[in-house]
Amino acid sequence: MPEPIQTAAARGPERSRRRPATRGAPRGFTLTEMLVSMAVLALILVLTTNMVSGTQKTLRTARSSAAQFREARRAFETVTRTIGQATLNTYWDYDDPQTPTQYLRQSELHFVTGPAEDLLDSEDAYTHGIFFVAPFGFAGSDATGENIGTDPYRNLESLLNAWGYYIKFNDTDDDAPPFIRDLQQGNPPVVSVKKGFRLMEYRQPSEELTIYKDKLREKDNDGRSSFYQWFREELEENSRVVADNIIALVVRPVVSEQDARKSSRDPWWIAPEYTYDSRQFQWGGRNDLSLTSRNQVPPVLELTLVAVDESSYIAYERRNPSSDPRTVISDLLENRFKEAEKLTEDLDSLELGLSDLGISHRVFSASVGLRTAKWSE
Amino acid sequence: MSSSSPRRAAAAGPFRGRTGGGFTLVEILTVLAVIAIMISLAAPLIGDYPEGRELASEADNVESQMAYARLIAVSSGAPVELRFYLEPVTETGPGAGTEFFRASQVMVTRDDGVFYPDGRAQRFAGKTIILGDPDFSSIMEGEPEGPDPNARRTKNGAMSGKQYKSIRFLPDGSTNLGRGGDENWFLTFVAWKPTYTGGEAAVGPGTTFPNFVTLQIDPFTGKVRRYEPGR
Repeated sequence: MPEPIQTAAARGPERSRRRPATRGAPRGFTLTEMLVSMAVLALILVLTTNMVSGTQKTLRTARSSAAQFREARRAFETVTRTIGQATLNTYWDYDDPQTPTQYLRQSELHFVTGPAEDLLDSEDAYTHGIFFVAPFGFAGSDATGENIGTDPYRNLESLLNAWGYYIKFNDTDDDAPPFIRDLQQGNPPVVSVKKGFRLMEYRQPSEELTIYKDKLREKDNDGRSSFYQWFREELEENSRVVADNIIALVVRPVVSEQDARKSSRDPWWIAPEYTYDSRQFQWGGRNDLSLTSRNQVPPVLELTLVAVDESSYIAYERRNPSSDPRTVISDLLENRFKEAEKLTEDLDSLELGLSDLGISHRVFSASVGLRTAKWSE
Repeated sequence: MSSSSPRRAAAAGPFRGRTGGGFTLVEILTVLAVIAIMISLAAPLIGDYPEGRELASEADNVESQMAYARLIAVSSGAPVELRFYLEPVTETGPGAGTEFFRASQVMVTRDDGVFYPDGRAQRFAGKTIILGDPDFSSIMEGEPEGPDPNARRTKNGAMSGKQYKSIRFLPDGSTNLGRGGDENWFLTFVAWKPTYTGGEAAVGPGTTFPNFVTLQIDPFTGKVRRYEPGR
């Protein structure tokens, strides 16, 4: 009799964990138990995969936008570095060699910045453009990549080049690798065509320099556009893409705070509508502006680039298949960056507009001092 | 009590006369093991998802190496070389043992004009390779260079005995790649397939390598542009 009691006591706690219904023999899990546990497991699995994929997605967008803005930052550095070296090679000379009346600052070169629609002979013009001449020594093999060892221009590092920057919309991707072009033209396309705004760099090799041929100094009342032939003529052939997805280039020429205070004017009085042309005195009539800008580069340029993130741009395209991002963005740019005093205002409203569209973006701004500037008013 | 009796009796048959009504742990583990085996067999048929991710991250790395090489060239005033080493694949298949471009390394130069490794060579993860077919990787056209004894032994294996192709980034931000009007410079990353033995490849949907990443380099500015399917 005492024996069974002992056994029962020993088994007691173990059995009580199980269902009381079992009688002595071991018992497995029922189907209901299995289903419940599997459901819980599945729930946990779904939750964790969701979490992991969410993190991965965030990581991917963060990385892509970091890479995207890295390119924009690099382009911005390139632009500020090159623009700082713009030169006019000025000298002092009689106003008229035949019947001299006074000494004047003279130059054979040109510096111009302003709304792109005035500078470029094209509908495809957005925000601003800037064109200048600088001693980059980009010539011969630099341009062709041929005869590097025997290049006659090899050691001429300070040869003058016509240079410039502007924004262009691309919707064809002509310069993609040939096999990518084929894949883009398939139906449906395997690789999508990279449509978007690009920052372009105009770089003319020294041996093709045409600015002297144009005899800008001798021109008189030939109309404003006749002064822009030196960069307009072969713009396409001599342009390279510096960065993709740059929608705005804004250049505001200013004088130093000191100079502005001295003349009690705004620092941007030298370009109230962003146009600053070292030859305005030849086409724009006689006024304060054209006399001051005559053959001299502005002392400081306030440079702004607006870059958009490619993945958010593509996402916008996918969300709104009926609307053309080109029109949407050029509508945002329309009537903006026309008056120099409204720069901050225009930038703020552009940023707001982009945020409304859900396009992430970044604004790069810097003041660039021109090394050759010897500003005098 | 009485209602559970017939159920137990019915269950007892297939489960070797046990009196319990459910599945035992051993049974459940067996079923789970069978399911796991089936999933692992079916996974390759479902898609190349992890492979594609590996590919994309290797292309990311090379893209950063290009940006880095350009930066060093501009800031140091001396050319910097980015090399792609040829190495045999070790996986099994008809194409095993064939050499592909599957490691990269940045090389910097000192005053003596000789290029030395800058850090370690990076072998591409998994099966990622750069196609040698010039239709898809114009940079790889022509005979490879090397081997270069200065490519010292690295943690990832000896690169000094390996042949390579290279891009040189110059101090003015440009590259040594040709600059003619019709020249176009690019590299294509794919995940190697056991059937691929080198030579002519096919890229696109439903062909040998439906997943790929192409990096295009502007010889003038060193700017890199990326193309991949679906983007």
